[in-house]
Amino acid sequence: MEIDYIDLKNFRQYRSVRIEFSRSLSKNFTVIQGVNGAGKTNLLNAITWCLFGEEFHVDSKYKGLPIVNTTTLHESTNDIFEVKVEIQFIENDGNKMVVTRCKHYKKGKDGNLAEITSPHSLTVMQQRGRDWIGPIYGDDAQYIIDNRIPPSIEEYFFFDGERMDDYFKENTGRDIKNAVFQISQLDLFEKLIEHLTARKRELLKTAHGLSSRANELREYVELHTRSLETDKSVLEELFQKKSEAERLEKEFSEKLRNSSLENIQQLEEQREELRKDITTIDEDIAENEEVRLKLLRSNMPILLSYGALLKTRNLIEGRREAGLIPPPYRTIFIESLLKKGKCICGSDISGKDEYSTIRRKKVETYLTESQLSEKSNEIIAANTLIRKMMESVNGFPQQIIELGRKVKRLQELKVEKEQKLSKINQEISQSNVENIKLWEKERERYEKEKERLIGDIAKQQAQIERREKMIRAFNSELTQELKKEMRHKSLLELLALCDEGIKCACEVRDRIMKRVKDEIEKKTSEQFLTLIWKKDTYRGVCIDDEYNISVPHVSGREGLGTLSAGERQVCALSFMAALNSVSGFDVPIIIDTPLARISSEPSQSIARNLPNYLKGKQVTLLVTEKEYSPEVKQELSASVGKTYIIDVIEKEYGNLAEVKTIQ
Amino acid sequence: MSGVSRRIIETIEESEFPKEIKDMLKALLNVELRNSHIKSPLYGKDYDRIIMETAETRRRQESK
Repeated sequence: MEIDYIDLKNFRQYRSVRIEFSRSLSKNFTVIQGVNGAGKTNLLNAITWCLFGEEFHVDSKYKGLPIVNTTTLHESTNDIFEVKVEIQFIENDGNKMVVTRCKHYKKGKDGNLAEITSPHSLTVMQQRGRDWIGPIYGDDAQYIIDNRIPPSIEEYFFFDGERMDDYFKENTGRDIKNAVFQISQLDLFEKLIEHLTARKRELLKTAHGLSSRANELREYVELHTRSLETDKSVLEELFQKKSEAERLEKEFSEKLRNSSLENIQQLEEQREELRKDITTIDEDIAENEEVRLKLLRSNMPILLSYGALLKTRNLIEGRREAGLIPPPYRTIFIESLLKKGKCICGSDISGKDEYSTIRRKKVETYLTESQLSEKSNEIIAANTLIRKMMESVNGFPQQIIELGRKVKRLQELKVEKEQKLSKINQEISQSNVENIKLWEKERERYEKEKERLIGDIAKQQAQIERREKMIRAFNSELTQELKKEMRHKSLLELLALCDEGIKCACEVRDRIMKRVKDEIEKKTSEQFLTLIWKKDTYRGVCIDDEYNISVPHVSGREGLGTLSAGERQVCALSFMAALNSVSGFDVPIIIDTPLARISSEPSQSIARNLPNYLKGKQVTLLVTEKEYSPEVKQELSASVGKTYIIDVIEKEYGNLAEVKTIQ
Repeated sequence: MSGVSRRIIETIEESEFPKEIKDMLKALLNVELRNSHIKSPLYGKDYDRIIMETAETRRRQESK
């Protein structure tokens, strides 16, 4: 899906503007250049306002200001104003879709604007060959848009470069995982599994003539499945509440960090450092505990049987020293000697004389004892093994003591840091400035709330696990019960198909999820290492199964927290490019000020590589003149199909923006 | 969104499930994709039809 054009009427500084976007396969980039404040971000806002009714990227200076163009507002003699944004999309099959959001505002006597609400403010027109469907209004229109570009993943396509470096700070692994799920169409599997489970329940409901036990089990399954649904929605709510608490905690921390008081800023920074240190210490403690556990697991069997092993070894060595273990020899050798009529010493014993008879009998006794002799080989091998086993645990006491000491040292360090942290907490909360006190109180409140919610989430997850286990057990018993009677044969067949479908859908979903994750991780890492200027500093980018992102330093330490703003921006850009190319989700990409925080040389490298990373995608870059330097322009030239410049016209009541074609 | 993504179809195809289950999954995913454009879809009839058809295919194969 590509954007064909966007029409803006009276939207913020755009009085009447149309922008057509490049839709060529090879020249898939559109560049819109403008100075700071010209209205680049408001173009992004016009798109989200048109699609979702909200300006997702609104700058603080515009917050609270009317959306209506200020010049129109003051020059017009009319007291009703129309704000309209229309976007025409072209779908892959060539059909068009026109989304229009149009709102009217009335100026009151006090000069304030009031919106005239209308159920027809949003319309969608869809082309199907020669026909057009629509206009579709309101919720139905919104539903069509949300399905093509879900608002929850909007920020993966319409990026604000200025805020991109905060991206990993603001989005939790869970948010990113959910977005990947939706972008990769894996949510279809979730619905499929949910609906197959529901069909299974319906099939069971319609079954007649069940035994009393089967009936009872059917009711249990029904009851627990309903409770499971409630449990899951409670869990979802808890996750949302936790995200909200986390967001608010960060917001108040940010307020403290940006406060005008230098000492509070410093304390907040120190607190942030201490928190990071404590997290690292916790990770180190967990790592050392893991090593200790592994060491214990591998050595414990030997340690527990150490006494028995020692006794066996002493016994074997004692017997060997006493000559009680026969020398090893082979039956086949004795048999061959007897056949040849030879003694072990080589003398002839084939005769019937007394010497030969005695000697032959002696050799024959070796034959009966040979079985014992063969055991002597095993005894010697066992003794060697016992010795090796005992030697392998020689270093154990020292190792375990060392690890114990290390953990103790780390725990002491943690206590020390925690004490410092609590001192800082106290110092900030006892500030003489009312605002600081209030912000700290709020921050603390949300921190506690977050901790409580983490506990509640763990409890809820355990409950869901228990309930799922119960449902599986009831289902399995119910199937056994139904199998007892032939008349339920066809019902059993259908139930088995549902089960098989659910199992296979889960398998395919998990396989795709893993592949998508691995590919995104690989591409992000490759792109990050290509674009980053300190190439030997980082190993790459790692993404775990829960989509928590880390950037390990070559030393092995985590480096995400120490990345500069520009490096974080490169990391986010690499991740988003990887996500877009791997998922194959069909939405145009718009990046506002992609290179703002990146210096000249890395900017060129990004400009050189970005067209490769976003091959086949319609990309629009909103850039400043500084960002779109001659070098960057040169690197992008082969991919840019249309270039515009936003002209700022200063007016008495606010600036006007006009968009002119350059190319 | 014009259809179920190629990656999903390929992963189903390369799996070792019986053919009728692969076909059932693809048909059900198409129902879900079609329904994703509708606010409150009624999926029951489609699901029942696809499950019955799969059961019928399986019965025919077993009787051969």
